[in-house]
Amino acid sequence: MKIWSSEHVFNHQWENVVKAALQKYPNPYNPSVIGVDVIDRTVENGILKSHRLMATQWQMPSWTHKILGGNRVCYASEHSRVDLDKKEFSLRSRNLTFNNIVHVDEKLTYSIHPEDNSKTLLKQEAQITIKNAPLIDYLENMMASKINSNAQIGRQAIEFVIHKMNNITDAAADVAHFSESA
Amino acid sequence: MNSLSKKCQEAKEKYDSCFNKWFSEKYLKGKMDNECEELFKEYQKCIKEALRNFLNSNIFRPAFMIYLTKTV
Repeated sequence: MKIWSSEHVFNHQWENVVKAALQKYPNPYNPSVIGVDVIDRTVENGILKSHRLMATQWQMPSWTHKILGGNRVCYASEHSRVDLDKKEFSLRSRNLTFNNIVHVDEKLTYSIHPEDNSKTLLKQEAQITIKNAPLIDYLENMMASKINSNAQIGRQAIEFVIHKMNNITDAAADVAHFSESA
Repeated sequence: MNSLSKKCQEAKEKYDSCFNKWFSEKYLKGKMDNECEELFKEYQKCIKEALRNFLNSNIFRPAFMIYLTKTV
């Protein structure tokens, strides 16, 4: 079993980061995410709980095809909760496909940065376990490495979505201003 | 973003628009009243049916079901 963890700071308000995280897909940085559906959602005591099903199609090196069975669509289950009181958005995803060989359990928490409340702190952790395959250490390291590079990409994706949301707001403000002065 | 099922694409898009607006303008400001309920029901009806069909045809169903029903 391998554990990977990382922290990142976004120079954006928590509310904006959470809005972006919920509208993360599609984005040009994550072309492998090919489908997302909400399969449950409730608000309980002000806490927004969601359960989503994600479909991704990875490009894996061809030598892994014999072990993992090729580039087929992988599904993951993501549970998340937005806690408005604590100002925390936490997510947990687990893969559903390839469960006989690999378990990836990923947790993310977006919270207000403890030292600067105009910023948002992201803590993430992934537990990777490979079994019923040869070269376990090698494969676990490869997955951790993949998760690490995906994490960098994921952060760029959030920045992209925040930027896009701000542009839409600015454009809307421009239109409102224009129609007022016309 | 695409739905996992083409049939549910329209229902998903309608619901997503409503949800994103509600989340920004209501939920984050502490107003919990949910105006997307009807759209959500439509969407869920479609996706749950698609999921049932998918699970009935998927050979990895047992493990899939176990993990899909796990809650945090």
